[in-house]
Amino acid sequence: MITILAVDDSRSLRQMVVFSLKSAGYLVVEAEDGVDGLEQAQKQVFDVVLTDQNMPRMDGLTLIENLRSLPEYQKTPILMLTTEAGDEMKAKGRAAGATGWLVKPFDPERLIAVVNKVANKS
Amino acid sequence: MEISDESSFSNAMIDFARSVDAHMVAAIADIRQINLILDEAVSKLNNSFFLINDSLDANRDKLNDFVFDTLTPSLNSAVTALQFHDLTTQLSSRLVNRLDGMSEILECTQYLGSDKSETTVEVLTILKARVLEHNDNLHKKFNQSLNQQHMECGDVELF
Repeated sequence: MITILAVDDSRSLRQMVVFSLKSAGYLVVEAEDGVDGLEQAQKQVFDVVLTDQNMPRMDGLTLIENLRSLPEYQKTPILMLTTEAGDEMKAKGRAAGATGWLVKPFDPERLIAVVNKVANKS
Repeated sequence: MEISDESSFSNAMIDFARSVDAHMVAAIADIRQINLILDEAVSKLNNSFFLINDSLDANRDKLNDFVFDTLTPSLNSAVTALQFHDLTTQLSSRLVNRLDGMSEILECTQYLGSDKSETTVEVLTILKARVLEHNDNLHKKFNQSLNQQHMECGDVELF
């Protein structure tokens, strides 16, 4: 089964991500910020990572940079799911190694479609 | 300007700062109360949402496709709409930070006038410096943007 790491400091948002992706047959593990996400990613290798940008302790861009420095995450699809919609921030995400950018709020069907696409590619 | 004028200006400024600060403190308390109520309401909404969904899943074989297909878009809409909590929490946190900073500045203002040797210009210069410092702190804290004006789902871009 494809496993996804969902990193977001909002519990209710994580619940919605888990709900959406579980309904599509994915196994989802939650992390509450970048530090927690990085720890989870080192314990277990995930097929897709979905992360928020603005979080306490470690933001999404830093998490992506850290993950990309790990051999097992160099080709893993990493999607940003954030309220940030500016081109400058998207460019930073791309430079850090993000695979894609989703602006909140998300629609479950679109989220599933994007995750299906990147998961199948990898 | 006479010393007495300086003194009455300082006193007036202290009174002004006190009354504005009282409003700031009350506004911060109101926002925190709104957040508590929202947190509880969203938690209950989410729980109800998941219970309804679990119940639908458990009875999937008893529901015909028409009913299930009719309900699915509504559940998806609810998932999108329930994300309002994440957005509003971020906005209210920024609001509290702004008000907290302004409240601190106003609190300092109350002590500025206690040194009678400070001129009005000196007091205003100190205040201006504090506001600029507050701006810098906010910029560091809020290097993020949140411009959503509605709850329609956001853009998707694959690199």
